[in-house]
Amino acid sequence: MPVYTQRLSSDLQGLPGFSQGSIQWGPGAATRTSDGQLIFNKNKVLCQGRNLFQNQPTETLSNIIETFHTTEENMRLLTGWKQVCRGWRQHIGPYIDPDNQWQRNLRTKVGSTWQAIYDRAIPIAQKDTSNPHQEPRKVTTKLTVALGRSLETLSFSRALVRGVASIISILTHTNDHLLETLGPNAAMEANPFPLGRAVLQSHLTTCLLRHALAKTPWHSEATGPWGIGPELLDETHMDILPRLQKTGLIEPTQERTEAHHRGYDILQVPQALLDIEDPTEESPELPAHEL
Amino acid sequence: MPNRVAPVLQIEDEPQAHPAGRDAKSSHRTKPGAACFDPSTALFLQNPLIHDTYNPGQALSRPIGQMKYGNTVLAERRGLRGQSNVFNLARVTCVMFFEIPQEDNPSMNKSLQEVTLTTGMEVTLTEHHHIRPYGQLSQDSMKQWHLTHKPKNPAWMEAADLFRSKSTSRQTYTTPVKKVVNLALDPRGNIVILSPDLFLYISASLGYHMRRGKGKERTEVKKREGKCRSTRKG
Repeated sequence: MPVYTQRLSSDLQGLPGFSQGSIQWGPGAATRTSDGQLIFNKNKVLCQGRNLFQNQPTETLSNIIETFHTTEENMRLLTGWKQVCRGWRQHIGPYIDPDNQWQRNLRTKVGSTWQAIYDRAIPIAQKDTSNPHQEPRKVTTKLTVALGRSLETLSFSRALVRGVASIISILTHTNDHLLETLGPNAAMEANPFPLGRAVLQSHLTTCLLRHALAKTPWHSEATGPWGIGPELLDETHMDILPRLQKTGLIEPTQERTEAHHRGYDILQVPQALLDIEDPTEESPELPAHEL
Repeated sequence: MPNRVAPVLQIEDEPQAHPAGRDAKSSHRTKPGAACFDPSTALFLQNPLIHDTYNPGQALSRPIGQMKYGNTVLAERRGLRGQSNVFNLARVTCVMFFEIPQEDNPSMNKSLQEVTLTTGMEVTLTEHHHIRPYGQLSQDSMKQWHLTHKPKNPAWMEAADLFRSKSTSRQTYTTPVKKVVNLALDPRGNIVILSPDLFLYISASLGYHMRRGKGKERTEVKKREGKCRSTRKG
């Protein structure tokens, strides 16, 4: 009996052509095992729908690419596509190579985002008395929203993940108010923003799933900020990672390689998760499915 | 991303599948061809046996090659314990075209087509496609449709075997078949095919026989666990 498995089905539905309602398979794309199972070879998928890049002059290709937002996800997409046109890899090189436009933009964007949230977080953590009129819980709520939004905007960029996780850890440890609202005992307090904690937890989990299960940078260059090969991991690209050097709370002073930094970065995420613990525990008013 | 673009997605290299009919050694393990129809194969669009819903003003069937995303076809849903014959309209969620390998040499190409495809009752399917007869439609003087010649124990057969058992002369492929078509349906179901002489066949569509990939493994693990427990008890 012809069968194909649920996994194959989801694989098929992941193909771009499926969303347009058609897939064309090349010769030998489907084979049948002795028990009747159908095996699809996705390498043999042919032309899937209209290809905007096909037979376009170079200027048009550039215009199309330039409409994309500078995100890691889009860079992955651009390099994941092949057979778009002759010399596609060469064409996108100027955009996505480590020292070129997109990577520079991305690093700048990550850097400025990091700086902005860092500048907001530190006064809260240090219990800044120069702004006594600000209600601390309200400020903290706004900051947690900003942290989540930054992660989303930058596609959970690994370069930003550790920075955000570090901020969360600082906030959970630095003063009584933050311990009450974000720390491990928050569930026992009259906490005004369980949702904010839940969102943070959800985002950190997403970050872990996206980055931590991949090989560590010193095993492969496939992780971390996209496309930086080990040969380029030197001081030139120190700006790709947010650091907490101002406070010295997290960052040890010892010299480490870029690869080390990137490997340790992701360890900050489980630490932050531990710091906030599961906000849904003992919090029946927030059903898990709302996460 | 502002523009929806659909270039080919690069996927990690997988072991190459054997091209149809090229690797004799592998043919006992993997047989070429999915469950597929020649594009001219007529699919039922409505059920004429349910007189209340049958609309004579609408087409009874349409070639599968003309199907598009969002069209509806008549599908058979398998009931509990394998009991079947529940028909419902299903929406086409994906039309899949499979290219049939071609040889430059016409005589070799003809041989290749015969290895890959089977034809009988003027319906062309890939050899290993699963299909079973459902009966024959006929119209009485009142223009009402009836089902006759319904087999008592209709069993799934491979297309090649079914058409062979019908003792019809095998047709030669005067025009090479370059592609075959299959549909993914929602809800999943088998497709009803109508041959030109109004014989009906139920045909396995893509996805109807979908199963969980690790179902077998799980069952085996459970069995093993059961054995272990009984051994410990003993």
